[in-house]
Amino acid sequence: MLAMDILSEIESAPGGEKLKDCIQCGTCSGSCPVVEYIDYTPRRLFAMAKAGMVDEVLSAESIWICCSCYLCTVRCPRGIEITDIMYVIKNIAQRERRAKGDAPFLIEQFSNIIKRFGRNREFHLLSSFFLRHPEKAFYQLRFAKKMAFQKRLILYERPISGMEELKAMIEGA
Amino acid sequence: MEYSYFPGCSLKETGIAYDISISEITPFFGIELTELSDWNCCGATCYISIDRATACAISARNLSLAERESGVLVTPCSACYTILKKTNRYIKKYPEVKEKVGSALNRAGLSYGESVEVLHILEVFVKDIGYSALSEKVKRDLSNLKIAPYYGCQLVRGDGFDHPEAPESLDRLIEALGAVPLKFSHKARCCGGTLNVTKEEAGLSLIKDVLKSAEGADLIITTCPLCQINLDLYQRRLGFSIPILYFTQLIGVALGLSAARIGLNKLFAKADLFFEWR
Repeated sequence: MLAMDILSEIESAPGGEKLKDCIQCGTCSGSCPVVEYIDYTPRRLFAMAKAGMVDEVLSAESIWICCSCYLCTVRCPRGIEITDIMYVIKNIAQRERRAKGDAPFLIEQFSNIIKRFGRNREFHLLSSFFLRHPEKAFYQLRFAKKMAFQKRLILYERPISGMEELKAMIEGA
Repeated sequence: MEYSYFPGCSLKETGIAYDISISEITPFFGIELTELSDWNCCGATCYISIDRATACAISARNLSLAERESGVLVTPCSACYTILKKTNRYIKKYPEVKEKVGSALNRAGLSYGESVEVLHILEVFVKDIGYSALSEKVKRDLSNLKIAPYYGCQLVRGDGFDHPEAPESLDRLIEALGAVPLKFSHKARCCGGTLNVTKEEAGLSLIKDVLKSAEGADLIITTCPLCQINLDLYQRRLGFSIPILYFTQLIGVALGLSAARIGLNKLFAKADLFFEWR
């Protein structure tokens, strides 16, 4: 994908039109609660996108650590919907098969569950994740055991009645 | 007052105590919630990360269904609230979103006239019911309790209500119930959401910051199933032990309801330290 294409795709996506207003003040990066865990801060990521660094932007781990808290968005002095631009970049990274790691895996499992049941199933979702990470599963088993005892887990339930309609909505999009 | 109720997926599974307490307390205030028939997942922060257009479309199916019912959609989950409100805003603001959503709904034999209002259940209590009506129903003395009102992030941010960083509505609700709200710096900071699963060290540090900031409280109340489960499950590992209740459970306690009736037996940290367990 060409560098200019990704920039224009971001800028033409709903909410992305304001990216050009970014003044690189860094309020977003200073507000980010996970700033110490990300490879590129939002300010830097946007500068990189504008500079045409497509590879780096699409393979940044930052976009998958963004926890959608919207603190950057409400503080941005230029009114840029930063969290939503993160979603736009995530969408492109997914489509271009550049998304790697645990967060994209969890998201993919989540979407598969929606396509099957119409609703999320937390027990299914987390089981699929911890099968991939058995080393972390042991600690989680205590939680699962207690929640099963408290009747807080759905082991099986039928899909919603409008499942076929929902599928038609998703697949035709 | 009649509303369509969108519980969201968590309230039917790990967050069932929130669902139970809502259905127990709402009749006391004349709130009639009718669960939206055949609702689907709002997509949360996950589907929107894959494809925003489809995420808006599946979320709009719920808005479309609500339009046939009461026209006011109430949800207790901050993630559902954000996505449903965002979908509404995007459909109205961006013609290309409206067109894509419209054709997706069309394939399902549905349409959406953009008339649905989305509310968080906290808004119903503080705006439609009001603090004085809440006070009038209080049966149990909570004056010796210091309570940390934890708003989390999405409820109050861009598409939310109240102040995006220094909200007050839950503080006032605690006062209305006769208890003392704790002032703490992290009341509207993020719990990390699913980071506890996908990037554990980041998720745990956010939870720790919130719990540390709320030190001195007898309990914490939450407005979102993900905030509740994150604080409740991981606190022991971080060396904390404090009851984490849904704000609707606190209302239930104030109304004098028994612990089991409002799902206090479906939490991790025991809440019976404060209330008679029967």
